[in-house]
Amino acid sequence: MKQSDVLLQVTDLKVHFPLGGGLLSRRPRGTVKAVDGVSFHVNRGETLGLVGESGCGKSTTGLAVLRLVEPTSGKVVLNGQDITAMNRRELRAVRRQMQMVYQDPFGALNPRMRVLDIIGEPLVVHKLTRSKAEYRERVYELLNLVGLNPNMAERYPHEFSGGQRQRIGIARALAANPELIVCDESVSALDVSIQAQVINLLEDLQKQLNLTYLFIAHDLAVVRHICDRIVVMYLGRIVEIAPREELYENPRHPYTQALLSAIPVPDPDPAAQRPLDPALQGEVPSPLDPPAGCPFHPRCRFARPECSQRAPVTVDLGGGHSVACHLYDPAVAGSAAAV
Amino acid sequence: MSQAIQPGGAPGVAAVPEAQPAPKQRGRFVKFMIRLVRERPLGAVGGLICVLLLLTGIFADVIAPEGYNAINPIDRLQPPSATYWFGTDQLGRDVFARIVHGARLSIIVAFAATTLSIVISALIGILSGYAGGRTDLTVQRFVDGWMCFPDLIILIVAVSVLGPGTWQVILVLGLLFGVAGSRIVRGAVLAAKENVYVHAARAIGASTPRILWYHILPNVIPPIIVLYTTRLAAVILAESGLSFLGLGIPPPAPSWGGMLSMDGRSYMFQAPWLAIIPGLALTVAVFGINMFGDALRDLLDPRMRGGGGRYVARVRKRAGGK
Repeated sequence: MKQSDVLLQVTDLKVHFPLGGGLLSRRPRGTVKAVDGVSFHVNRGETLGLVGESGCGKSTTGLAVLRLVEPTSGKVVLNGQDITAMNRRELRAVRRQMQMVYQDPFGALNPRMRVLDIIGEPLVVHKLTRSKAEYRERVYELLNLVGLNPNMAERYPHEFSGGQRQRIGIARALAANPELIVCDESVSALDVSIQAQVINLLEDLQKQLNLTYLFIAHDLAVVRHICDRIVVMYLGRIVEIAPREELYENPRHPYTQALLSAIPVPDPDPAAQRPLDPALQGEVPSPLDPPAGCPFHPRCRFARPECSQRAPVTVDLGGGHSVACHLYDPAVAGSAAAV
Repeated sequence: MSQAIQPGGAPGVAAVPEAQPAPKQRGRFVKFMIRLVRERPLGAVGGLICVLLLLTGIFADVIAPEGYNAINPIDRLQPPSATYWFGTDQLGRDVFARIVHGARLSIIVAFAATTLSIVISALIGILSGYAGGRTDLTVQRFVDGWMCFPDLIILIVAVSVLGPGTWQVILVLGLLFGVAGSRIVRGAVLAAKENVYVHAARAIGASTPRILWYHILPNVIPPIIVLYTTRLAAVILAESGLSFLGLGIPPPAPSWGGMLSMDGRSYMFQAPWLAIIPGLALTVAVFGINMFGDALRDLLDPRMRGGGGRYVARVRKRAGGK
């Protein structure tokens, strides 16, 4: 790890969405526990990967960290400031420090605004430039920073390709000099070659500007390339946190093992492909009605009776590696050594 | 409107005055007119009719200096001639002069009532759509209730309460169309609200007024313009309808609708021009406004920009077909 001080601390974050409940009935018909008690931290200057299947709550976690979705409970502390306790005005001010890069490079830019005004919007909102000349200067600088030509500033988003648009989105995120950038599937919508360019750009920017990324993705190859540490989520909970190499070389949670088995092997010979872990077949259970105990037990190869009864506690395995599974809980009979 | 589209003049930035924008904007207007003629010729014709209508209204006193109520009993019910282009009515008033002054009346009523209605639509629509949730639900039920009543019933009741007269008609039509039009604005706001860039603006830390102004409103303006132009035409028709029924602007004001009913109906067989001429004026005005409105809608959509838009696409398709 590059530096050890903590930029972002998330403690027991929960985001529940009530279903139903119209004008007259206040009582919801059910609750989707999109994020259900998630705790992790991000060190300054590192890239933390957040992976999991679709619907596991990784995007919601990212949104709740920025408080673009209201957390139901829990605490998010950025740079020592408790974001969850802020009122609207304080929150708007603190948004300077945390920005977001979106998945869809076509939808994230207002088609009626020039690139100049898109990238400059954070400058206007937070009153960061004093004159029109300074404003232009800063936008040109940002365009250069993301590898675009400043003479593109007068154009509209529809004149750009997907990769270029994503660069514009990154430039906008950088405009206010944030410390934390949440990348929500930021490269998933791009071609592989463009993906590589954008990832390299993100890495360069991180070195140059000492940025911290919360990188949300489902592409495990990309995550392995860019992330320092990785959080694996399943049905709104964290199942495993580990440094990158540790996670890929030595995955502990049965779900992580299954997930890693799904990475395609870059070999044209079909025989070289790993067999898909049977646990990944079938559907993720509905978050409306998650399984009792460990949410993964209906699909788990190692499931034992206690898995359906008690939720596993997080076990620290040392070296920044922790896992939420009964198999590794010394308090559970016949664990740890069993595997 | 161009102001709303480009936030270059945003607070903090606008502090430094710049000499350039004025000629630049005029250039844009000229470019827009060229596009209008090339891509939507029918719209250009509509635009021309609108301009003529406007000029007629503005210069009514110059075109027909004798006024709309100069009675000339000797020349009653004259057919169209070199002296009386559109003939005369049963009191010997020049129909041409009355049509010209009627254009002024129609324009005043149309613009005033439509502007009022658009302001009402935009306020209700944006409030309801952006707030969402319970506010939206409540407001929309009121709108539902309002829209349940047939327009004509509301109009007749309101006019009989307020009494006939120009301002009463404007007020009633503005309110009537305003509430109904709020649905269209609300729909556009609901769609615009879901854009990722609206979300992104919130992530940047933009305030709600700023988001509404720069990110929501530009999406709402094309439907508002279409609404405005179709409403202009609808208001002209509605005013004529009210006046036709004797509930609108009372005589001797030269309302086209009133002319159709008072003079046109009574003397339809002796003097058909009394019905044909105001009818024709109404038709042409409404047609022109609608065509122009349609063309504006197509041209204001940035996705149609470049490539010649629909018209060129259609021409190319036709050329390929033959």
